[in-house]
Amino acid sequence: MKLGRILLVTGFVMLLGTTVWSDSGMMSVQVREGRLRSSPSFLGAIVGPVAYGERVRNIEQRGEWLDVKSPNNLTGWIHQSALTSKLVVLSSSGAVSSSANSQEIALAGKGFNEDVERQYRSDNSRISYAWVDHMQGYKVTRDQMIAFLDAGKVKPPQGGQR
Amino acid sequence: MSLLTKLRITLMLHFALVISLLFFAPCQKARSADLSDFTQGLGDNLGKVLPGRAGSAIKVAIAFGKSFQDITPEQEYYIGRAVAANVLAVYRPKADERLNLYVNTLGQTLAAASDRPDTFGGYHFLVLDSPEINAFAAPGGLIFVTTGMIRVCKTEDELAAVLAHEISHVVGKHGLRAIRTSRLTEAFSMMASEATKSYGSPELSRLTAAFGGSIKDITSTLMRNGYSRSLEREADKGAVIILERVGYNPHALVDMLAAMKKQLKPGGLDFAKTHPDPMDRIADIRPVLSGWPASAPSAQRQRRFHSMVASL
Repeated sequence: MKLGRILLVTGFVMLLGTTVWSDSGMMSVQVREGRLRSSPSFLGAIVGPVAYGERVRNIEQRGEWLDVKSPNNLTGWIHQSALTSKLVVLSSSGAVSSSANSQEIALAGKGFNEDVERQYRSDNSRISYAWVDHMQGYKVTRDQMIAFLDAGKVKPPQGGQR
Repeated sequence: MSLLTKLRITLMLHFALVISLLFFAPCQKARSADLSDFTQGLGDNLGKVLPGRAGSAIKVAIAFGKSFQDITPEQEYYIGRAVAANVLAVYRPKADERLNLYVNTLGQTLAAASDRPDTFGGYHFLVLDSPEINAFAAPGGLIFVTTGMIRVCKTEDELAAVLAHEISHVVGKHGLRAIRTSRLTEAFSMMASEATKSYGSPELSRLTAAFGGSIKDITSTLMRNGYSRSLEREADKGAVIILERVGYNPHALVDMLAAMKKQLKPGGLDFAKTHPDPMDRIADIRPVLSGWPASAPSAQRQRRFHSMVASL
């Protein structure tokens, strides 16, 4: 009987903890250039940027898209692949304790990073990054995508949504 | 109510709680049925229930990650750049800006419609000047397609199928899966001990060795050994979904595979070596395609495609 009560109370505390956490709904941007859109769609108009590591508040979710509010009160839709439930800590802030683990935080600029790339390049001088940098310069805007699809008469089948 | 009955009810309540955690914990991020994603999502949320850890100064012995799933998008970005540089050490790029812009416009549009439109540095494409029939995807979204492969495609829809297949390898993090666990263990353990300070010279050398090993694991899978048939099947499935979402003909994947079958030399060094037989891939993807209607490309689309590839 006593054991039952203890277990029950433990269960409730766990449930409460989970609920409180999910209600807080804070997520971190885990990509270099996050974009908020006016609609939950890959061709939705871009409302504004969100930076790597920025914390956003999740207001609503529709499929893989989340309606979020940024620290400067910008609201818009962003794909869940751009976000993580972890706290992204920028190493420059120096605020990370070594007790934090990978399930709670992601250390920006740690592990395989710019320094490791520099060292790797100096160890492997026959490998050139020139064309890697060049290809990363190819950037296609949302308007260019729409114009491209329109010009090629590429349309999703009836009922399909972009 | 007997004590036994009460105990039973309590146990059932707990069972229900655990089940509800299993279902609700990963719903924010893990949309695929991938088991490792699933358990990772569960771990994330259970971790959050414990308060105040980040503020503590006590060192705990929790490894900083375990599998390829723990590689952050930022680290994946640096891995991808190095893999791409290694691909470009073997293949010459096609310095044709018009063609590269066309492939990027098509490819980036398809990637935007994938299940993972946002990688750390985004998706970028480059045409390789090689008669080989081949295509590669480096982690994070750096994707290559040879002129030989483009020549096999008869329509923009078929080229879209090739690119969508490669995008799906990035979505599924197939490249990262090729990294040996020992390399990751080494890198993650260093991250755990060096979390608060920047790396000194010996640490940087060890990390770079783990990095170089990881790059070798991925490039040899991309260029020599190939992925398993099940990962190829997953990439083909992903490609069909992307094509359908954007409005390309998903059956173009089968058309492209059939054309490739005619041109690949058995025992050849290119795509034939790193991919399952096109006929096997067609057999695998047919059931997925049965629900999708086929469509012919518009005249405008065909004109555009031919004008782009005419010089190849």
